[in-house]
Amino acid sequence: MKPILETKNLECSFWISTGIFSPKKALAAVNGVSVQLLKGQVLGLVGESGCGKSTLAKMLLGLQKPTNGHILFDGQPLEKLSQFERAARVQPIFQDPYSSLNPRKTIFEIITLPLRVHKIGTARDWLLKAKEMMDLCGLASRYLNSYPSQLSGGQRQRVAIARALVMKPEVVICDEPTSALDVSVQSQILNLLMELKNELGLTYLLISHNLAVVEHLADRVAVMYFGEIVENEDAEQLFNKPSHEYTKKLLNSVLVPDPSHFIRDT
Amino acid sequence: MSDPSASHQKLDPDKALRSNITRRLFRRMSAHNSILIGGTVLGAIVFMAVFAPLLAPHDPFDQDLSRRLLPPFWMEDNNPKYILGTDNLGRDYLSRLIYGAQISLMIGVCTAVLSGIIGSALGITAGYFGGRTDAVITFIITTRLSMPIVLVALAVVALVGGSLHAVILVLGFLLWDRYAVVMRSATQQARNMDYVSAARAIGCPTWRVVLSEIFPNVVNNLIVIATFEVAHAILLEASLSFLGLGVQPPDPSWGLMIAEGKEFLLFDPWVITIPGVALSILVLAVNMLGDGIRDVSAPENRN
Repeated sequence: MKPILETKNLECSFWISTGIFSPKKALAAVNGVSVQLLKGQVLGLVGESGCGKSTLAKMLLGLQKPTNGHILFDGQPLEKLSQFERAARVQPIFQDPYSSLNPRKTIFEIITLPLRVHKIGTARDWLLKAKEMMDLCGLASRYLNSYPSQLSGGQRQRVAIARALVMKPEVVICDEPTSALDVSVQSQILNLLMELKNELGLTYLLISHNLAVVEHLADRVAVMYFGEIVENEDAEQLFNKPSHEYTKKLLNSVLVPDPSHFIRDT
Repeated sequence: MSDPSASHQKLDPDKALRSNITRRLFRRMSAHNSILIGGTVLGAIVFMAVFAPLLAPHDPFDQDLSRRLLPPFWMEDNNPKYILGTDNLGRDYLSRLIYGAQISLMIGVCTAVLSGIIGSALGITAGYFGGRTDAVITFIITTRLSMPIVLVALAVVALVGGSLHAVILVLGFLLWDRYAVVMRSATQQARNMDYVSAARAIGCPTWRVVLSEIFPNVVNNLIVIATFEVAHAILLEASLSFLGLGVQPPDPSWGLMIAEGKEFLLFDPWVITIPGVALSILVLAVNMLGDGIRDVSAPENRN
Protein backbone atom coordinates (compact mmCIF):
# COMPACT_ATOMS: atom_id res chain seq x y z
CA MET A 1 0.00 0.00 0.00
CA LYS A 2 1.22 3.51 -0.79
CA PRO A 3 1.94 5.84 2.10
CA ILE A 4 -0.32 8.89 2.06
CA LEU A 5 1.90 10.89 4.37
CA GLU A 6 5.58 10.23 4.77
CA THR A 7 8.46 11.97 6.50
CA LYS A 8 12.07 11.56 5.45
CA ASN A 9 14.82 12.37 7.92
CA LEU A 10 12.72 15.10 9.44
CA GLU A 11 14.61 17.32 11.85
CA CYS A 12 13.63 20.27 13.96
CA SER A 13 15.93 22.04 16.36
CA PHE A 14 15.41 25.02 18.58
CA TRP A 15 18.08 27.49 19.62
CA ILE A 16 18.31 27.74 23.36
CA SER A 17 20.14 30.63 24.92
CA THR A 18 22.29 29.50 27.83
CA GLY A 19 23.35 32.91 29.10
CA ILE A 20 24.19 36.38 27.90
CA PHE A 21 27.74 35.66 26.75
CA SER A 22 27.70 31.95 26.03
CA PRO A 23 26.68 30.97 22.50
CA LYS A 24 23.23 29.56 21.85
CA LYS A 25 22.88 25.80 21.86
CA ALA A 26 20.83 23.77 19.43
CA LEU A 27 18.28 21.42 20.94
CA ALA A 28 17.10 18.79 18.52
CA ALA A 29 13.44 18.21 19.37
CA VAL A 30 12.94 15.93 16.39
CA ASN A 31 16.03 14.24 15.05
CA GLY A 32 15.89 12.40 11.75
CA VAL A 33 12.41 10.95 11.93
CA SER A 34 11.14 8.84 9.05
CA VAL A 35 7.63 7.50 9.41
CA GLN A 36 4.97 6.42 6.95
CA LEU A 37 1.22 6.74 7.27
CA LEU A 38 -0.54 4.22 5.10
CA LYS A 39 -3.91 5.19 3.70
CA GLY A 40 -6.77 4.10 5.89
CA GLN A 41 -4.55 3.00 8.74
CA VAL A 42 -3.84 4.30 12.20
CA LEU A 43 -0.27 5.01 13.17
CA GLY A 44 0.18 5.25 16.93
CA LEU A 45 2.95 7.46 18.21
CA VAL A 46 4.01 6.89 21.80
CA GLY A 47 6.80 8.20 23.97
CA GLU A 48 7.40 10.12 27.15
CA SER A 49 6.68 13.82 27.62
CA GLY A 50 9.09 16.11 25.80
CA CYS A 51 10.33 13.48 23.37
CA GLY A 52 9.17 15.46 20.34
CA LYS A 53 5.78 13.93 19.55
CA SER A 54 3.94 17.22 19.48
CA THR A 55 6.71 18.96 17.53
CA LEU A 56 6.41 16.25 14.90
CA ALA A 57 2.64 16.79 14.82
CA LYS A 58 3.13 20.54 14.46
CA MET A 59 5.46 20.06 11.51
CA LEU A 60 2.98 17.76 9.80
CA LEU A 61 0.31 20.45 10.29
CA GLY A 62 2.57 23.18 8.96
CA LEU A 63 2.60 25.07 12.25
CA GLN A 64 6.33 24.55 12.66
CA LYS A 65 8.97 24.69 9.94
CA PRO A 66 11.28 21.67 9.84
CA THR A 67 14.98 22.51 10.09
CA ASN A 68 15.83 19.69 7.74
CA GLY A 69 14.24 16.81 5.91
CA HIS A 70 11.05 16.41 3.92
CA ILE A 71 7.40 15.68 4.38
CA LEU A 72 5.79 13.97 1.43
CA PHE A 73 2.05 13.99 0.90
CA ASP A 74 0.95 11.43 -1.70
CA GLY A 75 4.56 11.37 -2.92
CA GLN A 76 4.72 15.16 -3.34
CA PRO A 77 6.80 17.36 -1.06
CA LEU A 78 4.49 19.21 1.30
CA GLU A 79 6.64 22.35 1.24
CA LYS A 80 5.29 22.99 -2.24
CA LEU A 81 1.74 23.24 -0.96
CA SER A 82 0.69 26.48 0.71
CA GLN A 83 -0.77 26.39 4.20
CA PHE A 84 -4.11 26.96 2.51
CA GLU A 85 -3.93 23.87 0.30
CA ARG A 86 -2.40 21.79 3.05
CA ALA A 87 -5.29 22.63 5.36
CA ALA A 88 -7.78 20.84 3.15
CA ARG A 89 -5.84 17.58 3.46
CA VAL A 90 -4.37 17.47 6.97
CA GLN A 91 -6.33 18.58 10.04
CA PRO A 92 -5.64 18.40 13.77
CA ILE A 93 -7.60 17.30 16.80
CA PHE A 94 -6.01 18.77 19.90
CA GLN A 95 -5.56 17.46 23.37
CA ASP A 96 -7.41 20.05 25.39
CA PRO A 97 -10.96 20.72 24.18
CA TYR A 98 -11.11 23.64 26.61
CA SER A 99 -8.47 25.64 24.77
CA SER A 100 -9.03 24.37 21.25
CA LEU A 101 -12.39 26.14 20.83
CA ASN A 102 -12.55 29.92 20.69
CA PRO A 103 -14.74 30.88 23.69
CA ARG A 104 -16.10 33.91 21.80
CA LYS A 105 -17.63 31.95 18.96
CA THR A 106 -20.72 29.85 18.68
CA ILE A 107 -20.51 26.18 17.79
CA PHE A 108 -21.92 27.05 14.37
CA GLU A 109 -19.14 29.57 13.77
CA ILE A 110 -16.45 27.18 14.99
CA ILE A 111 -17.54 24.24 12.87
CA THR A 112 -18.00 26.29 9.71
CA LEU A 113 -14.81 28.33 10.05
CA PRO A 114 -12.90 26.11 7.57
CA LEU A 115 -15.72 26.51 5.04
CA ARG A 116 -15.74 30.26 5.46
CA VAL A 117 -11.96 30.59 5.23
CA HIS A 118 -11.85 28.43 2.11
CA LYS A 119 -14.99 30.10 0.68
CA ILE A 120 -16.89 26.87 0.15
CA GLY A 121 -20.65 27.25 -0.35
CA THR A 122 -23.05 29.92 0.92
CA ALA A 123 -24.49 30.73 4.33
CA ARG A 124 -27.32 28.32 3.65
CA ASP A 125 -24.95 25.46 2.86
CA TRP A 126 -22.95 26.20 5.98
CA LEU A 127 -25.95 25.69 8.20
CA LEU A 128 -26.80 22.38 6.53
CA LYS A 129 -23.20 21.28 6.65
CA ALA A 130 -22.82 22.23 10.30
CA LYS A 131 -25.94 20.24 11.19
CA GLU A 132 -24.72 17.30 9.16
CA MET A 133 -21.33 17.31 10.89
CA MET A 134 -22.88 17.66 14.34
CA ASP A 135 -25.15 14.76 13.57
CA LEU A 136 -22.18 12.71 12.38
CA CYS A 137 -20.24 13.50 15.55
CA GLY A 138 -23.15 12.78 17.87
CA LEU A 139 -24.03 16.32 18.89
CA ALA A 140 -27.62 17.53 19.09
CA SER A 141 -28.15 20.38 16.63
CA ARG A 142 -29.75 22.49 19.34
CA TYR A 143 -26.20 23.32 20.44
CA LEU A 144 -25.71 25.20 17.17
CA ASN A 145 -25.95 28.60 18.83
CA SER A 146 -24.28 27.64 22.09
CA TYR A 147 -20.91 28.84 23.19
CA PRO A 148 -18.17 26.33 24.07
CA SER A 149 -18.47 27.24 27.77
CA GLN A 150 -21.97 25.76 27.79
CA LEU A 151 -20.72 22.34 26.66
CA SER A 152 -19.08 19.49 28.54
CA GLY A 153 -15.56 18.30 27.76
CA GLY A 154 -16.76 15.39 25.68
CA GLN A 155 -19.15 17.58 23.70
CA ARG A 156 -16.39 20.07 23.10
CA GLN A 157 -14.13 17.37 21.76
CA ARG A 158 -16.96 16.34 19.43
CA VAL A 159 -17.11 19.92 18.18
CA ALA A 160 -13.35 19.87 17.61
CA ILE A 161 -13.72 16.64 15.64
CA ALA A 162 -16.57 18.12 13.59
CA ARG A 163 -14.42 21.14 12.78
CA ALA A 164 -11.48 18.97 11.76
CA LEU A 165 -13.63 16.82 9.48
CA VAL A 166 -15.89 19.43 7.90
CA MET A 167 -13.55 19.87 4.92
CA LYS A 168 -13.15 16.12 4.43
CA PRO A 169 -9.40 15.93 5.02
CA GLU A 170 -7.48 12.78 4.19
CA VAL A 171 -5.24 12.71 7.24
CA VAL A 172 -6.16 13.65 10.81
CA ILE A 173 -3.47 14.27 13.41
CA CYS A 174 -4.92 13.39 16.81
CA ASP A 175 -2.64 14.85 19.47
CA GLU A 176 -3.72 13.00 22.61
CA PRO A 177 -7.40 13.41 21.77
CA THR A 178 -8.69 11.87 24.99
CA SER A 179 -6.17 12.65 27.70
CA ALA A 180 -8.13 15.67 28.96
CA LEU A 181 -11.39 13.75 29.21
CA ASP A 182 -12.71 11.50 31.94
CA VAL A 183 -12.62 7.78 31.41
CA SER A 184 -16.23 7.13 30.43
CA VAL A 185 -16.09 9.88 27.81
CA GLN A 186 -12.70 8.74 26.52
CA SER A 187 -14.08 5.51 25.14
CA GLN A 188 -17.03 7.31 23.52
CA ILE A 189 -14.68 9.70 21.72
CA LEU A 190 -12.34 6.89 20.65
CA ASN A 191 -15.25 4.84 19.31
CA LEU A 192 -16.49 7.92 17.46
CA LEU A 193 -13.06 8.43 15.93
CA MET A 194 -12.95 4.83 14.73
CA GLU A 195 -16.48 4.99 13.32
CA LEU A 196 -15.64 8.16 11.44
CA LYS A 197 -12.44 6.64 10.14
CA ASN A 198 -14.29 3.72 8.59
CA GLU A 199 -17.10 5.91 7.31
CA LEU A 200 -14.96 8.62 5.73
CA GLY A 201 -11.85 6.59 4.89
CA LEU A 202 -9.56 8.65 7.08
CA THR A 203 -5.96 8.09 8.04
CA TYR A 204 -4.96 8.87 11.61
CA LEU A 205 -1.77 9.73 13.34
CA LEU A 206 -2.68 8.95 16.92
CA ILE A 207 -0.40 10.48 19.51
CA SER A 208 -1.05 9.15 22.97
CA HIS A 209 0.36 8.53 26.41
CA ASN A 210 -2.17 5.85 26.95
CA LEU A 211 -0.65 2.60 25.71
CA ALA A 212 -3.91 0.72 26.08
CA VAL A 213 -5.58 3.14 23.67
CA VAL A 214 -2.79 2.76 21.15
CA GLU A 215 -2.82 -1.03 21.43
CA HIS A 216 -6.55 -1.03 20.88
CA LEU A 217 -6.70 1.35 17.91
CA ALA A 218 -3.39 1.46 16.08
CA ASP A 219 -2.36 -0.71 13.15
CA ARG A 220 1.26 0.33 13.47
CA VAL A 221 3.07 1.89 16.39
CA ALA A 222 6.13 4.13 16.38
CA VAL A 223 8.00 4.61 19.64
CA MET A 224 9.75 7.93 20.03
CA TYR A 225 12.62 8.59 22.42
CA PHE A 226 14.63 11.82 22.61
CA GLY A 227 13.56 12.99 19.17
CA GLU A 228 14.18 9.72 17.40
CA ILE A 229 12.01 6.80 16.39
CA VAL A 230 13.49 3.82 18.18
CA GLU A 231 10.99 1.25 17.08
CA ASN A 232 8.36 1.18 14.35
CA GLU A 233 6.40 -2.04 14.20
CA ASP A 234 3.00 -3.57 13.71
CA ALA A 235 1.00 -2.98 16.83
CA GLU A 236 0.59 -6.64 17.69
CA GLN A 237 4.26 -7.39 17.23
CA LEU A 238 5.35 -4.39 19.26
CA PHE A 239 3.14 -5.07 22.23
CA ASN A 240 3.90 -8.79 22.30
CA LYS A 241 7.58 -8.77 21.44
CA PRO A 242 9.14 -5.36 21.98
CA SER A 243 12.68 -5.40 20.62
CA HIS A 244 14.13 -2.09 21.76
CA GLU A 245 15.18 -1.62 25.37
CA TYR A 246 13.21 1.64 25.74
CA THR A 247 10.02 0.09 24.41
CA LYS A 248 10.29 -2.65 27.00
CA LYS A 249 10.74 -0.09 29.75
CA LEU A 250 7.80 1.93 28.46
CA LEU A 251 5.54 -1.10 28.37
CA ASN A 252 6.64 -2.15 31.86
CA SER A 253 5.93 1.29 33.25
CA VAL A 254 2.20 0.87 32.75
CA LEU A 255 0.46 0.37 36.05
CA VAL A 256 -1.89 -2.55 36.13
CA PRO A 257 -4.56 -2.58 38.82
CA ASP A 258 -3.81 -5.22 41.42
CA PRO A 259 -6.97 -6.41 43.22
CA SER A 260 -4.99 -7.51 46.28
CA HIS A 261 -4.24 -3.86 47.10
CA PHE A 262 -7.82 -2.68 47.32
CA ILE A 263 -8.94 -0.05 49.75
CA ARG A 264 -11.28 -1.42 52.34
CA ASP A 265 -14.75 0.03 52.71
CA THR A 266 -14.96 1.47 56.18
CA MET B 1 -29.59 27.48 27.09
CA SER B 2 -32.88 27.80 25.23
CA ASP B 3 -33.69 26.07 22.03
CA PRO B 4 -32.76 28.25 19.05
CA SER B 5 -35.94 29.00 17.17
CA ALA B 6 -36.18 26.69 14.22
CA SER B 7 -38.23 29.06 12.12
CA HIS B 8 -35.54 31.76 12.23
CA GLN B 9 -32.86 29.48 10.93
CA LYS B 10 -34.83 28.57 7.87
CA LEU B 11 -35.15 32.20 6.88
CA ASP B 12 -31.62 33.49 7.28
CA PRO B 13 -29.28 31.54 9.53
CA ASP B 14 -26.65 34.23 9.93
CA LYS B 15 -29.06 37.01 10.82
CA ALA B 16 -31.01 34.81 13.21
CA LEU B 17 -27.80 33.89 15.02
CA ARG B 18 -26.68 37.48 15.33
CA SER B 19 -29.98 38.78 16.64
CA ASN B 20 -30.14 35.96 19.16
CA ILE B 21 -26.68 36.81 20.52
CA THR B 22 -27.35 40.55 20.68
CA ARG B 23 -30.66 39.99 22.43
CA ARG B 24 -28.99 37.86 25.10
CA LEU B 25 -26.23 40.43 25.52
CA PHE B 26 -28.79 43.18 26.09
CA ARG B 27 -30.67 41.08 28.60
CA ARG B 28 -27.50 40.50 30.59
CA MET B 29 -26.60 44.18 30.43
CA SER B 30 -29.97 45.38 31.63
CA ALA B 31 -29.67 43.16 34.71
CA HIS B 32 -26.38 44.70 35.78
CA ASN B 33 -26.58 47.57 38.26
CA SER B 34 -23.41 49.47 37.53
CA ILE B 35 -24.11 49.35 33.79
CA LEU B 36 -27.60 50.70 34.46
CA ILE B 37 -26.45 53.53 36.71
CA GLY B 38 -23.27 54.39 34.81
CA GLY B 39 -25.03 54.11 31.47
CA THR B 40 -27.96 56.26 32.52
CA VAL B 41 -25.79 59.02 33.96
CA LEU B 42 -23.41 58.96 31.01
CA GLY B 43 -26.38 58.88 28.63
CA ALA B 44 -27.84 61.94 30.35
CA ILE B 45 -24.54 63.83 30.04
CA VAL B 46 -24.19 62.85 26.38
CA PHE B 47 -27.77 63.94 25.76
CA MET B 48 -27.03 67.23 27.51
CA ALA B 49 -23.91 67.76 25.38
CA VAL B 50 -25.61 66.91 22.09
CA PHE B 51 -28.66 69.06 22.68
CA ALA B 52 -26.79 71.86 24.46
CA PRO B 53 -28.16 74.63 22.17
CA LEU B 54 -31.73 73.55 23.01
CA LEU B 55 -31.22 72.88 26.71
CA ALA B 56 -29.08 75.84 27.74
CA PRO B 57 -31.33 78.60 29.14
CA HIS B 58 -28.90 81.39 28.18
CA ASP B 59 -26.05 82.13 25.82
CA PRO B 60 -22.93 80.77 27.57
CA PHE B 61 -20.85 83.67 26.21
CA ASP B 62 -23.25 86.47 27.18
CA GLN B 63 -21.41 88.70 29.70
CA ASP B 64 -22.97 91.23 32.01
CA LEU B 65 -20.96 92.62 34.89
CA SER B 66 -24.08 93.95 36.61
CA ARG B 67 -25.11 90.38 37.51
CA ARG B 68 -21.69 88.88 38.28
CA LEU B 69 -21.33 86.05 40.82
CA LEU B 70 -25.02 85.54 41.46
CA PRO B 71 -25.32 82.55 43.85
CA PRO B 72 -27.01 79.25 42.83
CA PHE B 73 -30.55 78.28 43.82
CA TRP B 74 -29.79 76.76 47.23
CA MET B 75 -28.30 79.96 48.60
CA GLU B 76 -29.87 83.22 49.64
CA ASP B 77 -30.20 86.15 47.23
CA ASN B 78 -30.39 83.80 44.25
CA ASN B 79 -31.96 84.85 40.99
CA PRO B 80 -34.42 82.19 39.73
CA LYS B 81 -33.46 83.11 36.14
CA TYR B 82 -29.96 81.78 36.80
CA ILE B 83 -30.44 78.42 38.53
CA LEU B 84 -26.75 77.74 39.11
CA GLY B 85 -25.83 81.39 39.39
CA THR B 86 -23.39 83.35 37.23
CA ASP B 87 -19.60 83.49 37.02
CA ASN B 88 -17.30 86.44 37.57
CA LEU B 89 -18.20 87.91 34.16
CA GLY B 90 -21.92 87.46 34.70
CA ARG B 91 -22.29 84.48 32.33
CA ASP B 92 -24.99 81.90 33.17
CA TYR B 93 -23.25 79.03 34.99
CA LEU B 94 -25.78 76.33 34.00
CA SER B 95 -25.40 77.17 30.31
CA ARG B 96 -21.63 77.09 30.58
CA LEU B 97 -21.81 73.74 32.38
CA ILE B 98 -24.02 72.29 29.64
CA TYR B 99 -21.75 73.51 26.85
CA GLY B 100 -18.69 72.40 28.83
CA ALA B 101 -19.94 68.80 28.73
CA GLN B 102 -19.45 68.88 24.95
CA ILE B 103 -15.77 69.67 25.30
CA SER B 104 -15.06 67.22 28.12
CA LEU B 105 -16.82 64.35 26.33
CA MET B 106 -15.23 65.13 22.99
CA ILE B 107 -11.76 65.19 24.47
CA GLY B 108 -12.38 62.03 26.48
CA VAL B 109 -13.80 59.98 23.64
CA CYS B 110 -11.52 61.20 20.85
CA THR B 111 -8.42 60.72 22.98
CA ALA B 112 -9.47 57.25 24.10
CA VAL B 113 -10.19 56.21 20.49
CA LEU B 114 -6.93 57.63 19.12
CA SER B 115 -4.74 56.19 21.86
CA GLY B 116 -6.73 52.93 21.75
CA ILE B 117 -5.93 52.47 18.07
CA ILE B 118 -2.24 53.23 18.56
CA GLY B 119 -1.88 51.20 21.75
CA SER B 120 -3.77 48.09 20.73
CA ALA B 121 -2.11 47.97 17.32
CA LEU B 122 1.30 48.09 18.99
CA GLY B 123 0.32 45.71 21.80
CA ILE B 124 -1.28 43.05 19.59
CA THR B 125 1.61 43.19 17.11
CA ALA B 126 4.16 42.77 19.90
CA GLY B 127 2.21 40.00 21.59
CA TYR B 128 1.42 38.01 18.47
CA PHE B 129 4.73 38.12 16.64
CA GLY B 130 7.03 38.13 19.67
CA GLY B 131 10.79 37.94 19.22
CA ARG B 132 12.44 41.03 17.74
CA THR B 133 9.16 42.80 17.01
CA ASP B 134 8.27 42.43 20.66
CA ALA B 135 11.67 43.73 21.79
CA VAL B 136 11.36 46.86 19.63
CA ILE B 137 7.80 47.62 20.71
CA THR B 138 8.59 46.96 24.37
CA PHE B 139 11.39 49.49 24.04
CA ILE B 140 8.95 52.05 22.60
CA ILE B 141 6.52 51.37 25.45
CA THR B 142 9.27 51.76 28.06
CA THR B 143 10.37 55.02 26.43
CA ARG B 144 6.82 56.31 26.59
CA LEU B 145 6.39 55.16 30.21
CA SER B 146 9.49 57.07 31.24
CA MET B 147 7.93 60.36 30.11
CA PRO B 148 5.74 62.17 32.64
CA ILE B 149 2.43 62.83 30.86
CA VAL B 150 1.58 66.23 32.28
CA LEU B 151 5.09 67.58 31.75
CA VAL B 152 5.29 66.42 28.13
CA ALA B 153 1.74 67.60 27.43
CA LEU B 154 2.54 70.98 28.94
CA ALA B 155 5.72 71.34 26.89
CA VAL B 156 4.08 70.32 23.60
CA VAL B 157 0.94 72.39 24.15
CA ALA B 158 3.08 75.36 25.12
CA LEU B 159 4.99 74.98 21.84
CA VAL B 160 2.07 74.51 19.45
CA GLY B 161 -0.43 76.60 21.40
CA GLY B 162 -3.44 75.42 23.35
CA SER B 163 -6.57 74.41 21.45
CA LEU B 164 -9.09 71.60 21.49
CA HIS B 165 -7.37 69.77 18.61
CA ALA B 166 -3.92 70.17 20.13
CA VAL B 167 -5.10 68.74 23.45
CA ILE B 168 -6.79 65.75 21.76
CA LEU B 169 -3.75 64.97 19.62
CA VAL B 170 -1.20 65.39 22.40
CA LEU B 171 -3.18 63.29 24.89
CA GLY B 172 -4.00 60.70 22.20
CA PHE B 173 -0.31 60.21 21.44
CA LEU B 174 0.55 60.02 25.15
CA LEU B 175 -2.13 57.80 26.70
CA TRP B 176 -1.66 54.62 24.63
CA ASP B 177 0.80 52.95 27.00
CA ARG B 178 -1.76 51.15 29.15
CA TYR B 179 -3.53 49.77 26.08
CA ALA B 180 -0.23 48.54 24.65
CA VAL B 181 0.93 46.84 27.86
CA VAL B 182 -2.38 45.12 28.57
CA MET B 183 -3.07 44.12 24.97
CA ARG B 184 0.45 42.73 24.63
CA SER B 185 0.14 40.39 27.58
CA ALA B 186 -3.45 39.43 26.74
CA THR B 187 -2.38 38.62 23.18
CA GLN B 188 0.56 36.57 24.40
CA GLN B 189 -1.85 34.49 26.43
CA ALA B 190 -4.36 34.07 23.63
CA ARG B 191 -1.69 33.27 21.05
CA ASN B 192 -0.70 30.09 22.87
CA MET B 193 -4.22 28.70 22.92
CA ASP B 194 -5.00 25.70 20.75
CA TYR B 195 -7.79 27.51 18.92
CA VAL B 196 -5.18 29.78 17.38
CA SER B 197 -3.19 26.74 16.23
CA ALA B 198 -6.43 25.24 14.92
CA ALA B 199 -7.19 28.40 12.94
CA ARG B 200 -3.69 28.41 11.50
CA ALA B 201 -3.96 24.73 10.63
CA ILE B 202 -7.24 25.53 8.85
CA GLY B 203 -5.27 27.94 6.68
CA CYS B 204 -6.44 31.29 8.08
CA PRO B 205 -4.17 34.12 6.95
CA THR B 206 -2.41 35.97 9.78
CA TRP B 207 -4.71 39.00 9.63
CA ARG B 208 -7.70 36.73 10.06
CA VAL B 209 -6.17 34.87 12.99
CA VAL B 210 -5.44 38.18 14.68
CA LEU B 211 -8.77 39.85 13.91
CA SER B 212 -11.19 36.99 14.37
CA GLU B 213 -9.49 34.61 16.83
CA ILE B 214 -7.31 36.82 19.03
CA PHE B 215 -9.02 40.21 18.95
CA PRO B 216 -12.44 39.05 20.23
CA ASN B 217 -10.69 37.40 23.17
CA VAL B 218 -8.74 40.48 24.20
CA VAL B 219 -11.31 43.13 23.31
CA ASN B 220 -12.98 43.21 26.72
CA ASN B 221 -9.65 44.40 28.16
CA LEU B 222 -9.72 47.10 25.52
CA ILE B 223 -13.19 48.29 26.52
CA VAL B 224 -12.28 48.43 30.20
CA ILE B 225 -9.07 50.39 29.55
CA ALA B 226 -10.89 52.64 27.09
CA THR B 227 -13.40 53.71 29.72
CA PHE B 228 -10.58 54.22 32.17
CA GLU B 229 -8.68 56.33 29.66
CA VAL B 230 -11.77 58.41 28.82
CA ALA B 231 -11.88 59.37 32.47
CA HIS B 232 -8.11 59.89 32.56
CA ALA B 233 -8.18 62.15 29.47
CA ILE B 234 -11.07 64.21 30.85
CA LEU B 235 -9.14 64.79 34.06
CA LEU B 236 -5.92 65.63 32.18
CA GLU B 237 -7.78 68.09 30.00
CA ALA B 238 -9.12 69.67 33.16
CA SER B 239 -5.59 69.93 34.54
CA LEU B 240 -4.22 71.38 31.31
CA SER B 241 -7.08 73.88 31.10
CA PHE B 242 -6.61 74.69 34.77
CA LEU B 243 -2.96 75.49 34.01
CA GLY B 244 -4.10 77.66 31.12
CA LEU B 245 -2.74 75.45 28.37
CA GLY B 246 -5.79 73.46 27.37
CA VAL B 247 -9.03 74.84 26.05
CA GLN B 248 -8.78 78.62 25.78
CA PRO B 249 -11.33 81.07 27.16
CA PRO B 250 -14.06 81.99 26.47
CA ASP B 251 -14.82 78.34 25.55
CA PRO B 252 -16.47 76.71 28.56
CA SER B 253 -14.52 73.61 29.60
CA TRP B 254 -15.11 72.17 33.06
CA GLY B 255 -11.41 72.31 33.89
CA LEU B 256 -11.25 75.90 32.74
CA MET B 257 -14.31 76.76 34.84
CA ILE B 258 -12.51 75.41 37.91
CA ALA B 259 -9.40 77.39 36.96
CA GLU B 260 -11.36 80.61 36.51
CA GLY B 261 -13.11 80.05 39.82
CA LYS B 262 -10.03 79.55 41.93
CA GLU B 263 -9.80 83.25 42.85
CA PHE B 264 -13.27 83.07 44.41
CA LEU B 265 -12.65 79.86 46.33
CA LEU B 266 -12.71 81.55 49.73
CA PHE B 267 -16.01 83.45 49.58
CA ASP B 268 -17.88 81.71 46.75
CA PRO B 269 -16.76 78.05 46.85
CA TRP B 270 -19.75 76.94 44.75
CA VAL B 271 -17.96 78.40 41.69
CA ILE B 272 -15.57 75.48 41.93
CA THR B 273 -17.91 72.95 43.51
CA ILE B 274 -20.37 72.88 40.61
CA PRO B 275 -17.97 72.03 37.75
CA GLY B 276 -15.96 69.85 40.16
CA VAL B 277 -19.00 67.75 41.06
CA ALA B 278 -19.98 67.53 37.38
CA LEU B 279 -16.50 66.29 36.52
CA SER B 280 -16.53 63.68 39.31
CA ILE B 281 -19.96 62.41 38.29
CA LEU B 282 -18.90 62.07 34.65
CA VAL B 283 -15.67 60.22 35.53
CA LEU B 284 -17.49 57.98 38.01
CA ALA B 285 -20.21 57.13 35.47
CA VAL B 286 -17.64 56.25 32.81
CA ASN B 287 -15.72 54.03 35.23
CA MET B 288 -18.88 52.27 36.44
CA LEU B 289 -19.91 51.57 32.87
CA GLY B 290 -16.46 50.16 32.13
CA ASP B 291 -16.58 47.88 35.18
CA GLY B 292 -20.02 46.63 34.23
CA ILE B 293 -19.06 45.96 30.62
CA ARG B 294 -16.08 43.95 31.80
CA ASP B 295 -18.31 41.85 34.06
CA VAL B 296 -20.90 41.22 31.39
CA SER B 297 -18.62 40.58 28.45
CA ALA B 298 -16.43 37.97 30.18
CA PRO B 299 -17.07 34.66 28.42
CA GLU B 300 -17.50 32.74 31.69
CA ASN B 301 -20.67 34.80 32.28
CA ARG B 302 -22.34 33.42 29.19
CA ASN B 303 -25.14 31.18 30.34
